[in-house]
This record gives sequence, C-alpha cells and structure tokens, in this order.
Amino acid sequence: MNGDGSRATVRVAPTRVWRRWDWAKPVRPAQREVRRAVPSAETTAAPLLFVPDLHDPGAAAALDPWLAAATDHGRAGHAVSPRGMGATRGRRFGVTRREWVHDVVQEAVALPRRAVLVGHGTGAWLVAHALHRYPAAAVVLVEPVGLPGHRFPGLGPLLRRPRIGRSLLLGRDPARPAQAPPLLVAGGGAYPAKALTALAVRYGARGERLPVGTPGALPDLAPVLAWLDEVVPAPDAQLA
Amino acid sequence: MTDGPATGEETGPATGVYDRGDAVCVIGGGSSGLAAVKNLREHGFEVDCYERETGLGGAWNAGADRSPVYAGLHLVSSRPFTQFPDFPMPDSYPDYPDHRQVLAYFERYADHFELREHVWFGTEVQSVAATGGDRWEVTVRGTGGGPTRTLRYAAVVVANGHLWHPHRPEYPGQEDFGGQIIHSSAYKDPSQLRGKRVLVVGGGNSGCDIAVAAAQSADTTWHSTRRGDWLTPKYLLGRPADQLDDLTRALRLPLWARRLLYRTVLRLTVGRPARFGLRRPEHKPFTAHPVVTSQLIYHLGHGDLTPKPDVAEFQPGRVVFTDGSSVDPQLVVMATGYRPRFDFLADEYLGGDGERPRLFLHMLNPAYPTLSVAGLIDPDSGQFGLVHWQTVLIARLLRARVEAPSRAATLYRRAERDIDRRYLQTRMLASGRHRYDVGHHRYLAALGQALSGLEGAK
Repeated sequence: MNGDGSRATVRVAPTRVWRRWDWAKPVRPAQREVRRAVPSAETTAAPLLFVPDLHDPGAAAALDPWLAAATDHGRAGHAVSPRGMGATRGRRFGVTRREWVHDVVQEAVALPRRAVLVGHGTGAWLVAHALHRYPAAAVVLVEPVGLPGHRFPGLGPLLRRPRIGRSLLLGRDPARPAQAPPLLVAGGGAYPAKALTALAVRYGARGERLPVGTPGALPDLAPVLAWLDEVVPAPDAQLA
Repeated sequence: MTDGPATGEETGPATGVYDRGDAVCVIGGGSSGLAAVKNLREHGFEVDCYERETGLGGAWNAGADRSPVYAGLHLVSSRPFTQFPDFPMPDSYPDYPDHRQVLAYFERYADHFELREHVWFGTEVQSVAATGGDRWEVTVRGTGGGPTRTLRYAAVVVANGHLWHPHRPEYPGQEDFGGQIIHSSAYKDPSQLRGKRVLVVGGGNSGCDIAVAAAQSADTTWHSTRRGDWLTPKYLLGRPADQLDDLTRALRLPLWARRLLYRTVLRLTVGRPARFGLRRPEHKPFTAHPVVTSQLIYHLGHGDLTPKPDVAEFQPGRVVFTDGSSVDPQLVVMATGYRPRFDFLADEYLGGDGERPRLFLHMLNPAYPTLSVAGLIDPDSGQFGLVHWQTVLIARLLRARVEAPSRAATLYRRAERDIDRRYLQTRMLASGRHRYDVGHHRYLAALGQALSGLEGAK
C-alpha cells in the first residue's frame, strides 16, 4: 500500500494556477477557535494542526485527547474549529467549503514552521482540499468521511448539517496534488477496512489501522505519531 | 556566514573551484529568490542562495541601501493578488498592506519554510559563467571584502530584482539648474520635502505616492506627467478596485464591456479628469500599467498640488514644461522608474542586449537551459503570486531534465517558438516602461500550460 508501489492508480490533480474566485471574491475573515498544547521542552519538530469532524458539536474541543497525545510525544499540537463550529460565533449555516479551507490554511501558515495536517472524519475531507492550498510537511487522514471509499456521512449528520452534506456528496473530489507530502490514511476498529484501502490506493498513501480504547472514543494516535517520527523527524532528534 | 557553503568537493587546489554537484544557485534573497529557494527545496534540490544585504526581503528590506522603499509605501494590488498562493497573508492584514507588513510577511515565509539556512547573507555574486555540460561557475565575495570563491552549480536562478537600478533620463540644462535633483530611490520620508517647493516628475505609482506626500508636507507641489493617465482609486463600488476588475473577468465580460464599465464607474464616482486640472487620457483603459491612487485626486481637489505636463528643459533655478509654463522648485524628485541590470552575467546568456533580455515567459533562454530568471515581470496585479508559479516551473523543469527529458525538450522547443510572446491582455502603449508588463490572466495561463506539459507520464 506504499505510495510508490501503487502510483499507477493514483490520480494526480493538474496544477491549478488559476484562482479567479479567490481574486474576484476573496474569503472574508471570520472568527476561528484554536486550542493549543505545547510540550514543556522547546522543540523544532513539525507542529500538528488537527482539524476536527465538522459534525462533532465539540469541534476542536473534542480533540483534546489528541492534543495531549501530541505534547506527550514532544510535538506542539493545535486544533482549529473553522467558522461556524465549536466555540466560534457568527454564521453556523451557509458556510462554504472554500471558507473552511481558508480557515484551516490560515491557521497552518500562522504556525512557526511547516505543519502536519491531521483531519478527522469530515475534517479529513477539508484537509484533503487544503492540501492544494498549503504545502504541509505531512498529512494524516483519520477515519475520513466524504472522500472516495466512505463518502456518506450518515443520515443524522446529513439532516443536521445539510449544507456540509451537499458539499460532501456533490462536490468535486480532491485529487492528490502533483507535489504531495507524505500521506497516511488511518482508521480505528469500526472504520471499514475496504474504504481505508481504497482511499490509500487512490492517494498513493500508506494505510494504517489504529487501536481504539472504548467504542465511540477517538482512535489512539500512537501509530500515527510513530509514523510521523519516521517521515518528518524533528531536526534535534536527527542530531541525537 | 560570509564564507560561502562549507560542503562540496574542491576539484583541485589549482582551480579552487568547489563543485556543488546537483545544487542550484539562487541569486538574490528577495521575494523571487525566497520563492525560488522554497520551491526548489520542495522539489528535492540542494540550494545556495546569495544575498548581498544582511537581511532578506530584497526591495522590501527598507534598511538596505538599494531598497526603493519609502515611508508610507503600500501595495497597489490587494492582498489576494499579491500573496504567495500557498502561504496566504494573515486575515489580520489590511486589503493593502504597507511595506513593513510585506517585509514581516517575507520573514515569516522564510521562517515557516526554514529557508534562512540556505541563504548566504552579505555575499555578492560577482560573475556567473557557463561551463561544460550546462553547468555554471559562480564567483562570490563577501560584501565587506575578502577573498572571492568560485563554486560550480547544476543550475542558476537569477532573482536579483529589477527595482534597484534607477533610470535617470537627462533633460536639457539639467546641470545648470542649481536646485537639488534626486531620484525617487533617494526619497525615504516626508521630512525631505517639508517646507520646500517640490516638483515631482513621473506619473507612475511611486510618482503619485510622492506627489501625495509632497502635497501633505511641502510648501508648494507640482506634479509633472508625460500624459493623462487612468487613475484607479484603491476602492471602487465598495471593494478593492482590482478585485472588482477580476470579478468582471470571472463573469467573463469581454474587454470592451470591462472598459465601458470601468469608464462609467470612474466617471460616476470620481468625475472627469479635467475637473481636477488633469489631462484626459488619450489611451484606452488597460493599455498602460495601472496607476492606483485614491489620494492624488483628493489633494488635487484641495488645491494642495498643481498638475503639470512633461518637463521640456531646466534653466538656472527654473523648470520649463512643454506647454511653456515654468516653475521654480527647490527640490526635484525624479520618479522615473528603474531598469534591470545584470552586471554579473554576460549579455549573451540572456539572449538580448543586456538591458533588454530576450526570454521565454520572461524567464528562460533556450540556448542556456539551466539558467532562468525569476521575477523579471511587471504584472497588472500582484507580483509574488506569479513569481511563485514561475519558480515552481523552474523547479519542475530542472527535475524533468533528469526524470523526463523528452518533456523538458518539448518545453524548450516551445520556448524557442514563443520566445517573443508578451502575454498582455491588450496592446500596450509604446513605452520602454512596458517592456516587462504582463497581464496576470494571460501570463498565468501560459505558466499553467507549461506546468501541465511537464506533469504526468514521463
């Protein structure tokens, strides 16, 4: 399932230099919520930017366990609730994918160094789109929803947030960019293995099963962090 | 860090040439140089970037002696056009950031992508010469002196900027004038103008900016321009004017309809030029480099400055204009622009006559496939976004030379065919000023086409 082995089936997106709507009607700034956790020892390792599932009412706050896992592992962790999510004020409906991607990229470029993007659920779908706007150090899609293999977010979320559902189901699939960072697709016990494999093959990514503690809880991030140490090691770790 | 890169093999003590293998040399650590370093690194190249100043930012590094930056300088293109497409300016920035914010943006760009470690500050490139096998010998020296060093690179990206060598036209009688004549590059802040009678020559963006600064600080201000121009305010119909223009393009209005809309909006919101004592533009909108200023009209309306035609001659203590009128300024600021200069490079490498390089996409000379120029364009919108894609193309082309030579060869063949294409949205006024002008839509389309030609199967 490694990237190079399955390159023949990978769809690479043509480079889009033309962004007429970004020029004609740029996204207006809006409030974002960011939760940050920084390890006690200073580090030069690539920071992690978590993008929560847009259907999770807690948004960024729901990823607190991952922030803790990242800091325990010696990496700075940041979780962003894009506009209309979590503790942000302002419009909750009628937010577009372009606006969410803008919010994710704005947080990524605000970090002191090139970030690793980690998306969960529909957050992974946002990350896959943000990949075309920001050259991340590495990308992890955890239990992705809305991407080939597992497109349907479920009836409940679809009815609660029909706008996201429409984008998920009818929007254009993000292909792998021509100059892509290392990619990992990961899923917990309940995530369909077939979807995971399909997506990994499609993106030329590595697939990984994640252990789950209690049902319904976030998957354990340890294998993801171990993979990150392999592909984007901290410069100080390299010296040691 | 003025010793040059430490790694590399010395080919022999007699020649003293360090071979840097497949590394690429980038000349200049300004906006174009930084984009080149980042994109070459991303495509797997080792990079040595040489910057003569001790800080990065090139033209935007206000502390550098060659910087054209002056107090109160703001971008004339709004944020979405100006930023690097993969590193947007923060939401907290205004529509038109000032020069300090632009420099801070470059500093963050360099830190975020860890580019500083590849830049050799305080090091000047003295000469670049082709050697066998499309490789290049680059001679560098510390700006403060010291020994020279020669290094051999697989490719060279020239990103030395084109806004540092002042263009100073000579007028008859100038030497007997007696008053002070400075180029706009020597204008730094309004204290130089305070209490003086000032003549600003030049109707470009910096000419208008300095005329406004003089209207606010000087005793008397005259502003001399060669022709009437379309002065675009920074905001039209409640949004930055360039965004409005691109909205009309996104809606696929034809050029004639965009011109009609532009004239109508300008007439309704600003009024006729004659009302302000300005000449009527004789050219159609979009046929000259855009001049973006809201304040010039404001100060004309307040009587703070007087428009004048082109300068005919200087007389002792006086300046005579082509309409026969004359004024007696104490200070003349020549905002007459800049010309590119490549002292370290023989003219043949750029295919032209030195001042006028002949390059495909303003970047490549097919006769020297591993030499490229980044940032030698004057777009009708922001610069950095276009330069980003230029440098992506350079990186992909250098990689394709190794991995997919047939695709690279196809592009070089196209380069030979299309070397004189200009990528303008319409015919421009005949003026030396428009030599590097590009329309951002046409130019990006051409870059996109070249990029897609290098993608896919080998």
